[in-house]
Amino acid sequence: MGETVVAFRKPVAGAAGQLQAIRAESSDAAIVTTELNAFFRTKQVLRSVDLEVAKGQITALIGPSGCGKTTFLRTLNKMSHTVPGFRQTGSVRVLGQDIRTVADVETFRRSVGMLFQRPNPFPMSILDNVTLALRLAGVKKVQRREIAEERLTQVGLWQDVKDRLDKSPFQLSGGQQQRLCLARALAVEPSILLLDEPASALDPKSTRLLEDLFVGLSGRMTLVLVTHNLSQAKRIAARTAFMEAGEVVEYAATEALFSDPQDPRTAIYVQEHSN
Amino acid sequence: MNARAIRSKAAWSMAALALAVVMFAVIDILALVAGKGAAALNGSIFTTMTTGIAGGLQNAIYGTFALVGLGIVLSVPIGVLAGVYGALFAPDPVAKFFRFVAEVMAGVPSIVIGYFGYTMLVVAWGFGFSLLAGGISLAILMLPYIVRATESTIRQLPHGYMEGARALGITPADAFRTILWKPALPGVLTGVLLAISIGLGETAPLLYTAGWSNFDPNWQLTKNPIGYLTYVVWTYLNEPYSAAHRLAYAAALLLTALVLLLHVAAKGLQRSTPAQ
Ligand SMILES: Nc1ncnc2c1ncn2[C@@H]1O[C@H](COP(=O)(O)OP(=O)(O)O)[C@@H](O)[C@H]1O
Ligand SMILES: [Mg+2]
Repeated sequence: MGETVVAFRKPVAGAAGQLQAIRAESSDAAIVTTELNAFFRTKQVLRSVDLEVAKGQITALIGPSGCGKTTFLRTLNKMSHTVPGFRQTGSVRVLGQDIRTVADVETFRRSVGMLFQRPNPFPMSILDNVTLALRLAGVKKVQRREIAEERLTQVGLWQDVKDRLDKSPFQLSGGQQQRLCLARALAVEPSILLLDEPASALDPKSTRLLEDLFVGLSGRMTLVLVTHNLSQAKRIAARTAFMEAGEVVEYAATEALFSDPQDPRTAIYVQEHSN
Repeated sequence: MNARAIRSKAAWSMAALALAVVMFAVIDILALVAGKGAAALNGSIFTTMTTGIAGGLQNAIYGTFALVGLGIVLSVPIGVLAGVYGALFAPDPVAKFFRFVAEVMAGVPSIVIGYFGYTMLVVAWGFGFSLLAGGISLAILMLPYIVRATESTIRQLPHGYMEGARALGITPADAFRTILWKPALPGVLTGVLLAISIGLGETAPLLYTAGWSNFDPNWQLTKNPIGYLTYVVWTYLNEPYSAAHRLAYAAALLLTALVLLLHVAAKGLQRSTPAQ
């Protein structure tokens, strides 16, 4: 039934985004939410969110702070569900599975990685940061080391850290720490990456570096990017959803959303927050 | 100066005065204990047992270590497990109830614990005045401090650790085992040191459970009374003999020095807590 849902809530007329949205058919969708409501105790935080996230693309979520972006993102990997008082109605299908039917949430979360607003390396060596989850999954030491090198190379960190793999990650710069966290997430080979304002604490250069990595990952991986930085969405997201007060107001191809917003609320937000 | 500035000045002066009074009292007590204690301290205090109201404190020193040691052995594993459970695994209402129980336990007057120890352990369970009865009573006294220290330390760790672990599909138990315990350790140890210093300084729970003995601990768990330093301070000051007073002040100085040492160690631990 999620299969027939069109990818935006309010049909918008004549937008280039509409074609795109319709083209994002369910078989290409990594994530489909249908009539998703979310509550913290009695407070409703997400309101009837219908959203399809296409496979192998970067999809951006923008909107004023407090509108529910983080809650939405954390609902996708069932992190919201660990908060006492959280309640979900409606359905969320991730990689074809309704998240309510997920029996083994740990295995599920390994296929849906996450980067947080502030880099959060673990208080252990740089190498252990990347390999911990692998060790707990029973991967042999030699192999863990190989994967670590591969991932650290992939995020452009290997040259910087190869001589201090056994050192604390807290000496690294913020940008390096965030890329370490990316390597850590990639080590368990997720199919989806959830990114919650991953560059908001970083300088412009580190931000660009991270964006390039995200672009490189898309294709093989589905990325959902929450950002308050509209030009970031413009630079790297194929599609963008604008949220306000727990609702998805408009969801379209990024180009279309910014150049030709259909909802006046989107238009105002985009205008006020450009550059 | 306007009225507000005057009121503010007055309040600050009052606070400073109060602080001065407290400081004066503390320094006065410390000076008294240090002066009289140092005069009474000599090598034989550590090497001889108490005879009547005189002699040494060896039996009381060993007894104190035995009692506090047993208290720690019993309270640390239970307290740390309860704290970890409360912080990481307990459903919200259960965790709240836990904290409430710990608060109440910490607020129970120690004489009540002594009375409980007497009726329950000494009499009903037939332990008699003994190392076991005293050690369990001390453990009950120390437990809430260890639970609270453990729980609040874990709760105050950066949320990013647990969140990061969750997002990687690491179970909370594995997250604790592999990530959280290390940064939590200094805080937990600080709580343990605090609990030890509280256990060292308590008399009430031991009066009715450990009894008193002029002899070194014989390592029997039950039925054998055992000596401890606070008993000497508590009872010998009331004796009309200067030899008894000397012993009491020596014991007080030893206890004060130990507690001070523990607090310095705890401060050191807190400072060594890694940033982040
Ligand atoms: N753990 C929580 N408990 C209660 N309310 C929460 C919790 N997390 C978020 N909220 C509320 O949900 C709303 C959306 O928050 P959030 O998803 O963080 O928004 P955004 O990421 O867009 O800034 C806010 O009103 C916030 O106060
Ligand atoms: Mg947010």
